[in-house]
Amino acid sequence: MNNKFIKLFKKELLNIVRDKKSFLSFIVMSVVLTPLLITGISLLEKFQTDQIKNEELVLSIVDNVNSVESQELISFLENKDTLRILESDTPNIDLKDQNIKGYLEINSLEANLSIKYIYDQSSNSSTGSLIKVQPLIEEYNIIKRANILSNLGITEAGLNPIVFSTITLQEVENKPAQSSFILFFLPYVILIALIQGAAQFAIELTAGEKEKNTLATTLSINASRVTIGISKISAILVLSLFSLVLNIASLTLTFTLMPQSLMGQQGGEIGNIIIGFDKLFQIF
Amino acid sequence: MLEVKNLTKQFNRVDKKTKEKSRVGITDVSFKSSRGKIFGLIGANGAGKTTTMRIIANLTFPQSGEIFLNNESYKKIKNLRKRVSFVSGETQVYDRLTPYEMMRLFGEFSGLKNRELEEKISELSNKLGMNDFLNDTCVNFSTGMKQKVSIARALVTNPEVLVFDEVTNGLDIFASRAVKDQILELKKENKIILYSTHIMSDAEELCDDVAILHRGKVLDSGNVLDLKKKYKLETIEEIFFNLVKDKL
Repeated sequence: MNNKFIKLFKKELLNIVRDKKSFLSFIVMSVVLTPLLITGISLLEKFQTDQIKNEELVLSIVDNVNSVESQELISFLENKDTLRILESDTPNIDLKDQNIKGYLEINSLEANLSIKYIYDQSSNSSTGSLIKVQPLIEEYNIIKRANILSNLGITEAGLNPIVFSTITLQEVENKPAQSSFILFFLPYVILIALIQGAAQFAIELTAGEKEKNTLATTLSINASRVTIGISKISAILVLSLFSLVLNIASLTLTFTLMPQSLMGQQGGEIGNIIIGFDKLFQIF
Repeated sequence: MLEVKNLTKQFNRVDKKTKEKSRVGITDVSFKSSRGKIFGLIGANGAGKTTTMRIIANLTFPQSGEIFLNNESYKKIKNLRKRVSFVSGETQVYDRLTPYEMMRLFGEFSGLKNRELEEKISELSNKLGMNDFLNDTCVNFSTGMKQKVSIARALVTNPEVLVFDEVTNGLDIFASRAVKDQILELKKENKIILYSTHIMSDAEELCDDVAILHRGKVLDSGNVLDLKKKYKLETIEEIFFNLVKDKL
């Protein structure tokens, strides 16, 4: 059985490896596809983000409070060069018609102001406007808080008697971080990597035999059908593992070499991660 | 001797146009084939020749009936595929292997030792005129070259029974001649040879005994000369049409 299995296994591998075009496409797909996809999606995301940043931010404001505080906030926003405020009696319609990217609704919440930003989730530019609006409101909040604290004779630092922070051993040693974050999506990567490369050969070794009329030839070999089947599965398994190694190597290289600017916040985390074998084993 | 007794294998078939269901295959197929003779299984397309040949080659199994090789049931023979080889007009070679590698693969599986196998490969390569392309991968071979490789890999195991299922299909006149000459050569080696065809002139030229198969049933079988005397006809083709005329 063992001897027959090895001979058949070698025959299946030889049949695959000698098919230069298919084998080359297998290597290229495994090595190039993942980096291309990741780089492509990152570039697209960066392009969209840049587009949103460069776009003029047009907002409306619905002031339901009409107090001194709310007027202060409105004049703070009006003085900002990055946005333009449009008067609107029907902000929802203007938002739907894309005349504005969103609108701020000011309500009172006890002694404070409650500010809601209403935007259109079905529009990229409206959703993207959030990244411009939120910092402005936070900036105003910081200014107001600093004023309140100053009036009370307290400093920002005085409000935080204890400052807690963390530092990893890898940061101390100036090494890349090993994070369990990667464990979240690594199983999917492994699954795709296993299937991606070997799928074509799995088809070739099973349905392909019928297609090419070599099935009768294979069945006439003096070996049991179980041995023939196991040798085919083993050959596919070896190629799947090879595909996995290529994909993981390619993925690691991509995240290592890719410019940080392309990766965004989460990508930045991934870029500093090395995929250790201990992490791989933890998955299984 | 190879004795085929009451082989039956039926398949369901649905007509794509009328959606009518029917049963096709073979029913109670029986015949005997002797050593040193070529036994022809003749019939039109769909008569059940390939099903019968594949059962004899142990590639598929009958629903009922039995085959005996030298009075021993197929069911009791170990390593049957070492003793029975199958070549078909449809059977292809592995595109990415060379004829040498294919012969080695089949030879090793039949338990031939290295030296014996090398000698056998060399002998077959000379006999079938394959020396020029022995170490080239089969991918760009002509149909004739591929059929030579198929025959070589069937012969390398030195089988007692050789099953040739419509082997000349699709071959040009030269390749067809070479294959038929090779089959006649094998007859001298005292092997049991089964040859299925729908080309009556081929059966006339090669076969000593025939079974005429029509719609899955053997209409008659026996020695070609005896059949000609029995029906007082000159050719197998005439005998065939005489037998099937009432069943068309």
